[in-house]
Amino acid sequence: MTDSSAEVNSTPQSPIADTSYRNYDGPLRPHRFRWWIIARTTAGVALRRKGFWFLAVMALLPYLGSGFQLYLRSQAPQGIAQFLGDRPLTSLFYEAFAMSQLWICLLCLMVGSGSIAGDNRTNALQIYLARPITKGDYLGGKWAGVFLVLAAAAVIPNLILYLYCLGSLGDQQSFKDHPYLLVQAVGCGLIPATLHSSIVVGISAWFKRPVLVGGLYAGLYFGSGILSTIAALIVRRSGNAEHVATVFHLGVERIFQGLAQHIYDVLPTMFGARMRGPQEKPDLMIILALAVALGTIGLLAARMRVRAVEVVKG
Amino acid sequence: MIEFQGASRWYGQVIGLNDVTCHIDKGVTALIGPNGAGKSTFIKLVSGQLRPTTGSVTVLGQSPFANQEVFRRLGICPEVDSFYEEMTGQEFVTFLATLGGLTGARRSSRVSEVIQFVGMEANAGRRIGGYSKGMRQRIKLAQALVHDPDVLLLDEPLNGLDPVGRREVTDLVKSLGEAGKCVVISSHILYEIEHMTRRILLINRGRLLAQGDLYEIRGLIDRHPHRISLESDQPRRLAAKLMELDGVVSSRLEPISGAVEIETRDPDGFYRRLPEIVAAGPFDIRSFASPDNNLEAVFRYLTE
Amino acid sequence: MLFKGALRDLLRPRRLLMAAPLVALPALLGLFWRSMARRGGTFEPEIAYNVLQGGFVFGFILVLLSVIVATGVVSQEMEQRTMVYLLTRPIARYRILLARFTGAWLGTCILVSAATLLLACSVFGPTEAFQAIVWTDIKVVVLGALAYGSLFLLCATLVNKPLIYGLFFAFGWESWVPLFPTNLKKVCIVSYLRVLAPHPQPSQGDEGVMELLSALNPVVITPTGARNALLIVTVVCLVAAAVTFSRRAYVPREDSE
Repeated sequence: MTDSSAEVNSTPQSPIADTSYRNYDGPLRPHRFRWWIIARTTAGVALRRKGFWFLAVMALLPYLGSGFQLYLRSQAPQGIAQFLGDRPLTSLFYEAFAMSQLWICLLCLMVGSGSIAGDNRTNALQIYLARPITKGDYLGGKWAGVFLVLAAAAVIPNLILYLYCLGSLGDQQSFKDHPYLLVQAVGCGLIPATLHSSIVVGISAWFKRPVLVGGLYAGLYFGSGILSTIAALIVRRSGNAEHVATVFHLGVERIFQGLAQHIYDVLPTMFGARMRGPQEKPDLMIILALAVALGTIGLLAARMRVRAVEVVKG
Repeated sequence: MIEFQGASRWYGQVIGLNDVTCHIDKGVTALIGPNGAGKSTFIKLVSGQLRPTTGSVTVLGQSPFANQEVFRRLGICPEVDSFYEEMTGQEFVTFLATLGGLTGARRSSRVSEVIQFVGMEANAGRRIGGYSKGMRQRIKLAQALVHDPDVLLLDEPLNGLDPVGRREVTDLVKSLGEAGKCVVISSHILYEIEHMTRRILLINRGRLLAQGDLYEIRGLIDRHPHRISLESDQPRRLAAKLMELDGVVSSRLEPISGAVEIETRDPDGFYRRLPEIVAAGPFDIRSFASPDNNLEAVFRYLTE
Repeated sequence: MLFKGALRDLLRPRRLLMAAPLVALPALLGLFWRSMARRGGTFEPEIAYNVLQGGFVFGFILVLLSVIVATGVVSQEMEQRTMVYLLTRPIARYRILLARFTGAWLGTCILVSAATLLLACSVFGPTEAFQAIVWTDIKVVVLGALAYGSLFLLCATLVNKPLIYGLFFAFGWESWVPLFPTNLKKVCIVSYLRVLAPHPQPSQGDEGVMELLSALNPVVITPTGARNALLIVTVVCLVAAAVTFSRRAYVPREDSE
């Protein structure tokens, strides 16, 4: 019998239970894990939404499509198999990645736009920051909560497709040609998750209305794509053809695509056919720098804005 | 004025209000119950924001859901602390008065009247976004009163008000009830409710537990005998004498005050016999009171 | 009152400050194009206008503002929990909805038309900005804002997260489906807008397989058909939105005990 149990047993027992208020005397988690509680709560709220599961399944469908193409290629008669082509596996992974981006973006809007804006609206920041947690714990937790959800939705489909390839093509040369396919696939899944969560948390910190955050981020995401297309056209017509591919990839979604093209070492295709746009990869250093800059700005913006005291004007 | 007939309201698989049948007439009726009891669902059904899943709700003889005829004569002060934050208090009340059908000089005078009435004339020109909790509560009350409704629903109107404000709202509610309006007020502050009305609707877990006069309801709660406290110069002799009465089940002496506290199952009989006992002597009775003949006790006994 | 309130809400100085960069962006891009052309190549105002008006104003600003503003007619009231004030007043619910929608639609038209005029000024020059094509575009903006707005309004009356669905339609469906060389084009509002306000994009020899297939199998839509289709979309969506709004309960779940 331990000392503590002896102490408990020595206390005189009353027939009436003591139901009065008691201070918490259970274990306290070490300080370094407090961000995780916020992250887990943020992710948990997202996972309880039906919309999350719908969008996650939609993000999975392009990967199932790529898997189906592989299946057809292995099962179809010679003529059809030839029609489907003998493209490298990385090309199929890239296509699925590119097609799932719209759904990942919508997921980000659903999960991330209210991440801090919701707390701003309800003044919950005061409650969070009145606990023994730092601003860093809070922001880290919010970021990690959004990131985990997006990373799961982006990486798991990649893993499923990879496992299918491993099971059905593991002994074939087309699979052995890509020894780093797993790392490439996971890396590609993590890029949008990282950048999305950094930017959306940054915007969310500045507003009280999640709808406004969603609208603003959607504007940035889709608008930057259209802008970069127009800018590439202007650059091309101005006789600077060598920069066209890089300018074309300056939008948020195009940054993901540009980085994925470098990771997989492919050019953009759709079912194996070429897509509209430049047929070369963008300058890696420029788009990587842009990605890092966007993510950093997002996090700094959040850090600058988050504070426990609400300033009322009026 | 307000009639519920077997009304239930479900939110998916959660029941908000369960088979409620009741009638609310002119005067002030208090809607009481713990958090999550179904009070707000009740008010949303009466104010036509929700339709009952089963049963019926009528206000002024008509179904209130999206019913303009009912809304013309109904005012609501919702519990939620939500406003058009960019508007000033004056603009907010004027906006809702216009939607309520008031126009021209009548609108201006009513808006001024109610703003003055709720004590907001000094702050009505400021943005609502900068108001304190009490000011927000007052301006919310002003918009509910601006079109002089016959049915007034007040969902937790005392929240955030200072003691003076509470007193003013309490007086206002009483005066509206006396003027023949049907006022339904939900509140957790039982002490203040008791000062406004004796008519209650007690809801718990979606079910209507009791309705009617507070003291009649108290009298019907048999399993909790009435406690009556008496102060006397000879408490022990008084206690012995009182134990001889029918219905008295226990007596005890308060150690500090020295008062006698008895429990009786027949309070009316006890009060009838009390003058005889005093007259027979030989002890003086300085005061008597019933500590559990109040709303809080009824609330506790019915919800425990 | 509701109409004025909705319009005033949209054109509030703080909101305008947020919308201003969006409205000015096409014009700034036009000026950028001009300055780039001065360094090398030629500047053709018609091509610049077509690219920026077709790609950015119709393809982005009109759609984005319509999504945010039209879904906000309902979702803003739900989000800030002020719906209770509107729905307990003696006004028919459909009138509340339509009055607020009209204000929102007019606000969208003003902002998108301003973007069009500024763009025309930047590419054609202030003196030659008021060309027939610009006026046609403004008329189509009015029609497009009505069609998009009513569709997104219907969405807002039906679902809890209308912005997500609206954005999917605006930037998923409307971007991808017209690329397929089938009659599916006819279920995209953008196809009709392109018929009424054609802004041919210059060929750069970088077309993909979708563009080539579409060129081989053109789907013919006449201007009258396009106009009628947009009007039908508007009427059907507005009626459906009004009926839905009149019948549904709009109470935030967390408000109910």
